[in-house]
Amino acid sequence: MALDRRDFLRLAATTGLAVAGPLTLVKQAHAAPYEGTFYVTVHAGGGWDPTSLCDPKGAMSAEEDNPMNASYLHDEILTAGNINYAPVGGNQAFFDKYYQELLVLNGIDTSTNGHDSGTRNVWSGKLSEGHPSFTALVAGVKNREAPMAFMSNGGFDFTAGLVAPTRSGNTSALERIAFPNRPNPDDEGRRYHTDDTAARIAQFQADRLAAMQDGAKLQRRKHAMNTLFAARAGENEIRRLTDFLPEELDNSGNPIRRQAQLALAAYKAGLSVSCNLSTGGFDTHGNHDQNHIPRLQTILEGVDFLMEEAERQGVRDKVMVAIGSDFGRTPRYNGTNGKDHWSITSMMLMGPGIAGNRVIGTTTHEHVPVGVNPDTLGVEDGGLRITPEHIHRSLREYAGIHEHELATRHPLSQANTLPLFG
Amino acid sequence: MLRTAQTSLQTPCALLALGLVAFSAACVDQTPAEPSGPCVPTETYFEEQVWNNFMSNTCFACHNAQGAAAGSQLVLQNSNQPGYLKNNLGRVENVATLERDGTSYILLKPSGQLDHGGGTVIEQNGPEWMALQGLVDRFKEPVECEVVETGDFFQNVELLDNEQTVRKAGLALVGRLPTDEEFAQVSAGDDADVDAVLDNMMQEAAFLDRMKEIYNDLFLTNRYLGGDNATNLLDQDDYPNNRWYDDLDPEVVSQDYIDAAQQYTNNSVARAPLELVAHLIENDRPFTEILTADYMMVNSYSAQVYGIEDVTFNDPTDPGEFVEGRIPGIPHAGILTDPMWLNRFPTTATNRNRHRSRMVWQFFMATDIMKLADRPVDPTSIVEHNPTMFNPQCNVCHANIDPIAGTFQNWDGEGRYRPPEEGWYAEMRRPGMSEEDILPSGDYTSSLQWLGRQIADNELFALATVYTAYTALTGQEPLSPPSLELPDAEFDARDAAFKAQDKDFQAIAKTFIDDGHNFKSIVRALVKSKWFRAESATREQLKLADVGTARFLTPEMLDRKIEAVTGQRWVRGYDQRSYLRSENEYLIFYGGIDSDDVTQRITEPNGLMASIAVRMANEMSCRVVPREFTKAAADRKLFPAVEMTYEPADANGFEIAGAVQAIKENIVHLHWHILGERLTVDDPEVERTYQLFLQTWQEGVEKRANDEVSRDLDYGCRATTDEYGDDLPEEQQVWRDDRYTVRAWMAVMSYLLSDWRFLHE
Repeated sequence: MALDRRDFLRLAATTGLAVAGPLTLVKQAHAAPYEGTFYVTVHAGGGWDPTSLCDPKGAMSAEEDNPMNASYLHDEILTAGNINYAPVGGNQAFFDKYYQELLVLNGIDTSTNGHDSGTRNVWSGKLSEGHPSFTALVAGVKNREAPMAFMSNGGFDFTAGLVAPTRSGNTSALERIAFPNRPNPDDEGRRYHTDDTAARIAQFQADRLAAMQDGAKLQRRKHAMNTLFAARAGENEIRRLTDFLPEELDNSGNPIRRQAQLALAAYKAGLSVSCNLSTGGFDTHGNHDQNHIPRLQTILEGVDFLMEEAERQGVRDKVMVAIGSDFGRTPRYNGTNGKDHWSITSMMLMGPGIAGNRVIGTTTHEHVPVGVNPDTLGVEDGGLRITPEHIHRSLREYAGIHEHELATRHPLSQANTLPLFG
Repeated sequence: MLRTAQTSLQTPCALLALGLVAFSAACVDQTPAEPSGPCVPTETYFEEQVWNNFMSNTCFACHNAQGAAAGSQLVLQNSNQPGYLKNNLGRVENVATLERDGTSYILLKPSGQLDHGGGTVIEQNGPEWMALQGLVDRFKEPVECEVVETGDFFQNVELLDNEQTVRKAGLALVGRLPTDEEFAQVSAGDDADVDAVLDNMMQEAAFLDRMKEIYNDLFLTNRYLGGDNATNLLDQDDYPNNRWYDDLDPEVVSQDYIDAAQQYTNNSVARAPLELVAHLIENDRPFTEILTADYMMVNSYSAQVYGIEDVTFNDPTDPGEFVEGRIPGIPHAGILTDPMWLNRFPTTATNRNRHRSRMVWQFFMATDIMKLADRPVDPTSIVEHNPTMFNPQCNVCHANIDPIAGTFQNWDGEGRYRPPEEGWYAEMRRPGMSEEDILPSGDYTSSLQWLGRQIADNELFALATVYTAYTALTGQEPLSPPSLELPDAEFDARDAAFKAQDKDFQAIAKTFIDDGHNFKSIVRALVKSKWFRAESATREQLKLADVGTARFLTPEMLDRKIEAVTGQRWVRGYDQRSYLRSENEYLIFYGGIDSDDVTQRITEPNGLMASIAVRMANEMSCRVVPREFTKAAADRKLFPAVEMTYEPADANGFEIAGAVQAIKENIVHLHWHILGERLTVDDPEVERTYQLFLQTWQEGVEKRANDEVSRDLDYGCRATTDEYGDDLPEEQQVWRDDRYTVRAWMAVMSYLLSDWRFLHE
């Protein structure tokens, strides 16, 4: 698009950027390739069971009636560095490989047993509606013009209008999307319109859109016009994505892996700031161990694949990952060997600047949180419970966006500050 | 609106006089509180003087289903429940009728003159007490006001005219533009003419397809299309013929027939819930039958699956012929008992149909149950036995969810009819609509039929249906009451918008009920409503923040619009696969759903979506423009006013006035036909589009002279065949573009087909 920065600013100044984002955020029509930290969340949809993962609670004996977990004994709990974990599924391989980077947060109180509200709270830091996910917020602040700034494969992807989410479909269609003026994307010699004509069309469209926005008095319409304009600003950059897509995409059946491939290619191409990876199947009200532990393995394998792919792409040291779920699952088993909804959960994080080999927060054997001292983060009777709001305050500070206008528009309580990331 | 305790009781009249509330009223009678002011309806008085002023905080804090006063006679609803004001007013009135020594309990209790668990929370004769006194007086001497609109919410809003309205409705409902006759009918006509055109549209098959699309966004039962996804969900003990086609003998019928029978069968089973929606709408049946129908929709393929024999078909081979059928022994209750619907919203032994109940509340009673629990819960502190019954943190939702969950008692997690041998769970609330409205014992084996009837009789069903139709038509959710925590100016603006919309939607819901629950009456009313027709405003106002539709078209809607406008579909050449509807092409990238993993649409464009739109515009301009010029001018949709020979200037660069005039007239036509913009030749936008044409033509002429571009069109854009693929006579073919006019028009078409107005409605 042949707009210069002045044009874009002029356009932005007349339009719904007051809704979609403040004028001061607008950088340039052609979004500069994003090279900062890549923020990735991995969502275990349905409510995972931390006691089968990073907050282990084994059976006290083989004979215990309805134990916390039937798949392993308390004495069999394993340790990697300072991190205890359940000796099931693929946990050992994962924790042995990543413990030095992992920050485990246990005993997080989501204050809800509802899937939607839990997912919202865990990934936005607020139980109430209307607040963006962290990934949407960070993309909105750091580079909302990037054409794939915020990629979502599920989880919680409410954006509050800060940035347009991108879904991934069949990646074989991406080349055609990346080169919309070529009848055949592989044939550089053919064009629907000459390059001059294509640029002229784009320019005339932008001029017309600006004129329409000038005249629009209904905020909803103005906002929609602005959103299309912002989307078009990065349109030409999409072709960079094709340079970084693997020749063959993963076919293992683990959805996280393919999502990770596209996400990293988009990041590597400078098009993406953040991404939600997601897979479901964790809502195991029946036959919990049999159904749940393989799902945990899917998550851990997916995260491992993400980090390996990041290594291959040369961006391993730029990737921050936060792994979480709607909430936790009830202590012990119900009548069908399942586990129901429990508001206490855990999260795991790793990435540049996050001190690993640490566990913050503790729960009782019945998976009830024990309070922490807000200064030392040590266990303290009557101490405070860690909530998603605490974590999101830390995440915002970690990303350096906590004082940004878009972040303060969706405030988190100042009282909920904990030095979680060091 | 009044929200603070400091506000004088006299101010509502003052505000009304200043026009700061949406509606005033002409007095028939006067309340003692405002002896000289305008008449204030009791519900308005309650909202402004009592609820907003203090009751929503001071009283609601305890007097709610999870509060300390949950067991009292005054349990108030929060604002997430439709009709909460009316309901709360009724509950307050009930308590207010109780008196001691001539003074109402509603005054005595909070002022500490009678035992009150919360102590003294308002002062006797203080402003809150006076507000309640005024309310009590109104209960004793009802105030009736003749409501007169004094401040039109849409006062500064410009609306679509009749032609623009039916154009927008045509694209939204049937994916086509109105015919010339339809435009003519409404251009000089009134609302009745608009209704007549809409009625015609609603007779079309495309309308029913759109309705199915709308309801699939809720039910997501299209997940089971394809393969054996639907038939595999049916228990073979219950339905031993669920794969009846396996018994077909390949020696007798072809394998193609067997394969087709398999696909038709599966998809017929999968489509039954949506076919019921279409059946009710098409035949003007009460839409309540979606919950009460004592039948399901079957065709000749699915009838065999379900063992339904007493049905006849005009053409048993036609998979599109659905009729009403009844499975022997099954107490049908519309979609509630459809195996696909039940499987799409499954349950478990511990969930006990609560998820199904939640969906019923959401789809058919306009209530998101989860929003009722707007306060954090702490299950780790729960010590009660059976907390969903006895813990107030739980029963705020469960009191609503569990009774309806119980009415699903006869249907198991796989959607099979399995009445529980030992009855429903004794430790749960009794099955019913609510704790007070329980399932009669005689209806236990047909509990969902009973539930369907109860909901059909409930006003919330009508409102929920209006909500669904509004969202489908506009892409927007209905407005919610604003949070009392908002800043005053924003609260007032949003409150005014909510009330204006709620009033209109309640009226539409009443029309729907009065019209025998005919779904089409909602469509007619919504299309003519200002919520659908708002186009622009004379000035910006905060209260108008949610007014005006600006929906980014779904892939399906854009697909239809492309064909409606250009006469051609955007499909892959060799197999006619729709680019916008195929999961293997752009459906998911463009924000669509697959009804399985991806169930939420993206409603705002991102970079990929913008690029897909550009590709569509380029491909379609390449296909459409040359083909248009193979036809006589009178037969063209897009270029009736020009020929390929019409150049804007001669070889010496002098303007050819006649040609320029024709080109501009054609541009006027394109702006109306493609974008729905009615412009005149001298409009700046026509000039802008003309400049695009002119500059592209000039570029082409210059590059042709320098041999930088070909004389001929790209081979993919040449029009050498007709729409059926037959070769055109050579003189009709368009593949040379010596004058560069075809490519200049292609640029114009690309410009318009990727315009904001084309991609939005």
